[in-house]
Amino acid sequence: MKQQRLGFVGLGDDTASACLSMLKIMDGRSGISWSLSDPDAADVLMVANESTDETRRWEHTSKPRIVVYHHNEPKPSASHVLQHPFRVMQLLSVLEDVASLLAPTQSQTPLKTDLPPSSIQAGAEAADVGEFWDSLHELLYGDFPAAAHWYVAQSDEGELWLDARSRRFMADPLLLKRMMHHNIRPGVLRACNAPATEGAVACSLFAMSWMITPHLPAGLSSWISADSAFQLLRWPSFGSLAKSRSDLTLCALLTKKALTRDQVLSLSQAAEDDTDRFINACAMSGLMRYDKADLQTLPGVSAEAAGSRFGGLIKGLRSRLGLSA
Amino acid sequence: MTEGEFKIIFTGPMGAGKTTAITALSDQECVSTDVVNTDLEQCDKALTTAALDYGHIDIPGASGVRLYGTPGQERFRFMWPILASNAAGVIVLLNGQHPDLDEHLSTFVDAFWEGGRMPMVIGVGRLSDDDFFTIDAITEALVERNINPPVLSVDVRRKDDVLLLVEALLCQIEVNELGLAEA
Ligand SMILES: Nc1nc2c(ncn2[C@@H]2O[C@H](COP(=O)(O)OP(=O)(O)OP(=O)(O)O)[C@@H](O)[C@H]2O)c(=O)[nH]1
Ligand SMILES: [Mg+2]
Repeated sequence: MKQQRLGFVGLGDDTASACLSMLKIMDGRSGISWSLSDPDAADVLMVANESTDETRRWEHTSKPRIVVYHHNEPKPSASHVLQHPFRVMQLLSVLEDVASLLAPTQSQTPLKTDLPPSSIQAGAEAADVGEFWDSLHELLYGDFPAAAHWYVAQSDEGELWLDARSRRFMADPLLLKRMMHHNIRPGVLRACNAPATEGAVACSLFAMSWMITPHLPAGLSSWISADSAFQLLRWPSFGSLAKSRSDLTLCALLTKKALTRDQVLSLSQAAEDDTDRFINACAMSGLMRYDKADLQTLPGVSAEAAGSRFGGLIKGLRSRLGLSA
Repeated sequence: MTEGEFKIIFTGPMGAGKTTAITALSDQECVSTDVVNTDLEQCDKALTTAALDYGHIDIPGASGVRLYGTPGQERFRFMWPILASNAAGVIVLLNGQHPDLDEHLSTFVDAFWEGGRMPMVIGVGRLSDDDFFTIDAITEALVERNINPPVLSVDVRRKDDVLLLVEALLCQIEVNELGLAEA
């Protein structure tokens, strides 16, 4: 990973420390690892908007500057600005902008395995979304993991770009919105040049998987053995994605315990299609462990409640709140 | 605990939306003790809850569900364990735009998580719809510490979002009732 140094000029302690903890969260999520340095040695400066001796000293530096201004101040005219208080997302985005200035040639170096996207025949054949799915799995988990940084899948309605390093997709926000409800049928992922991602937004691997899985053929994906024991490492981030009661139950159940598909079906009372979709999406996004079931260590489970603490109260509450029973 | 008592705690820093969420659910007027906020440094809003919020959901044939909101100001922290004892679950509300989000996260999660015994949901407000990143970052920071409650992006001014938090909590409580947890 690329190392870059960030220097603070004239920022309050609270801003600097919020920024540092955000950088810690971000570590490993962008292509660059940021560390703190003094302004002289820094590659990029974060500068307070106030005019002080300290900030004036760095007014005409050749280093890229991110000007931090307070929400009740007018927006400064600098090309990189950040309004305080800011969120991780905003910090990440301005740092990514600045980083692209630091290494303007790097992302344009053609990759050995490249096929320029334009040479892929558009609309030649209605794509089978299963091929997209299998190619994604091959890239992320196959014997020959992704060699390139960027991959693209053509769909009926636009391109999906995969950043194989951060395991995130980039696409036009309107396309992503449409994907929530429609099958846009992306085809096989192929290596490509770094895309012009201006105006594109990122989409997590889970979100992409969640949007694709309803359009896959029924059943578990071919690389998942039906007699596995499944365990969810953490709750997926649904964000604004549609999720049902049974999806939440599957999360609660599988974060608690490794279970076979049959056990999941009987305990959750979720439909088979919903369960398979859940497993497929979580497995693709690396959130699901699936090992060969060791039947000895699995609990003997029955859907019968084991001495319920709350009795019928939860049912009563559900019906009072109009939640599905 | 008394058979039939069911208590849900709403916690989180000042201004995260505890009073708003309880008001959305409660059958009775939510009993808040909002006073003029003199702690504008911690949060820039006019009213804050000084003692606690209390709401109630009536359930026919049972004693109903009690909803408690912890006061947001840290100086009332001594009340947290008192409120948490015997709770069925905790809903942690956070302001996703707050610069001290990380600190809030550990303060409130650590105070109520009880090594995973307490069913918990984290609702993060004031995020844009497509901000998967903040949610993922929070989730991963917790997972690193072996803490894995659901983290959901919500706007508690929308009742459906509050119901989603309750739903995610109930699903966990129901799974616990299956008696799988300890195995
Ligand atoms: N824009 C936006 N506003 C929100 C959101 N959630 C809550 N609010 C608003 O934030 C304000 C504070 O909410 P409260 O419910 O008073 O917060 P609280 O947690 O009870 O705060 P304390 O009692 O001071 O601890 C209210 O005006 C809410 O309408 C959100 O997701 N987005
Ligand atoms: Mg309040």
